[in-house]
Amino acid sequence: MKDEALQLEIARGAKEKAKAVFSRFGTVNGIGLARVGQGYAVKVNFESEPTDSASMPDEIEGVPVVVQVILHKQFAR
Amino acid sequence: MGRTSVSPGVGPQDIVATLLRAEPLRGYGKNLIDAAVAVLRNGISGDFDTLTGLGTLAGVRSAPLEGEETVFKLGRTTGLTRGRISAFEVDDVWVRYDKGLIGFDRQIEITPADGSPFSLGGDSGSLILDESLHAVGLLFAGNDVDVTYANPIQTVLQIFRARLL
Repeated sequence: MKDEALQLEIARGAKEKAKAVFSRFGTVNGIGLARVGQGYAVKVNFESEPTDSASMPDEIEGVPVVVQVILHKQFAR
Repeated sequence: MGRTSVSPGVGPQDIVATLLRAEPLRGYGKNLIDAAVAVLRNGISGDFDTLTGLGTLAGVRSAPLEGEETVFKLGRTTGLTRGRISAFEVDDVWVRYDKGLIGFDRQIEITPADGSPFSLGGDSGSLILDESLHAVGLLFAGNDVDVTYANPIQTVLQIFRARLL
């Protein structure tokens, strides 16, 4: 088990790489970090169903990726 | 600057504060916060520590967010609601304003925990609190269904060089 701080740093690096990778599959609206079990994941939000989702990677540099499609538009409150 | 605040009032008799500073929203690049500071007018007072239905505000959270934590907010529209932090350090969040799409980085994403929306229009400005009632965020956006966004409260306070009373 890697140190928590190290896991977080690795996840941050993966998030930056994921921005370019996942923008090829659709319009990303929100890409951040999420807790998964004892570790971290990259969370990618798409505005609509991504294209060719079967070929999307399920991890980046060993960090799992969680994908969510958020169909409803986000407004300032 | 100096604009008066009546929301959700209806007229001058409802003015409670005067705008001191608003962080401008940039239409290009990314923003970190959508927030402003107002000064209460003379004669206006309040209880700033009591969180009705929750307890007493414990201050600002200093520990980093973990994700998958339970959070609460007390809002003007939806009152007390419970959610969970579904993501943090969220970049490339695009929010619709009257003037168009505005982008934000390093935001907190919250999903509802009780089946109903965590926030609706009019809840902006609500403090997001963790289970120990430490402030973690300032609510500013959402989609009325499954996602709410908050600015990290420490970022808000740093930009305004302010502190919670």
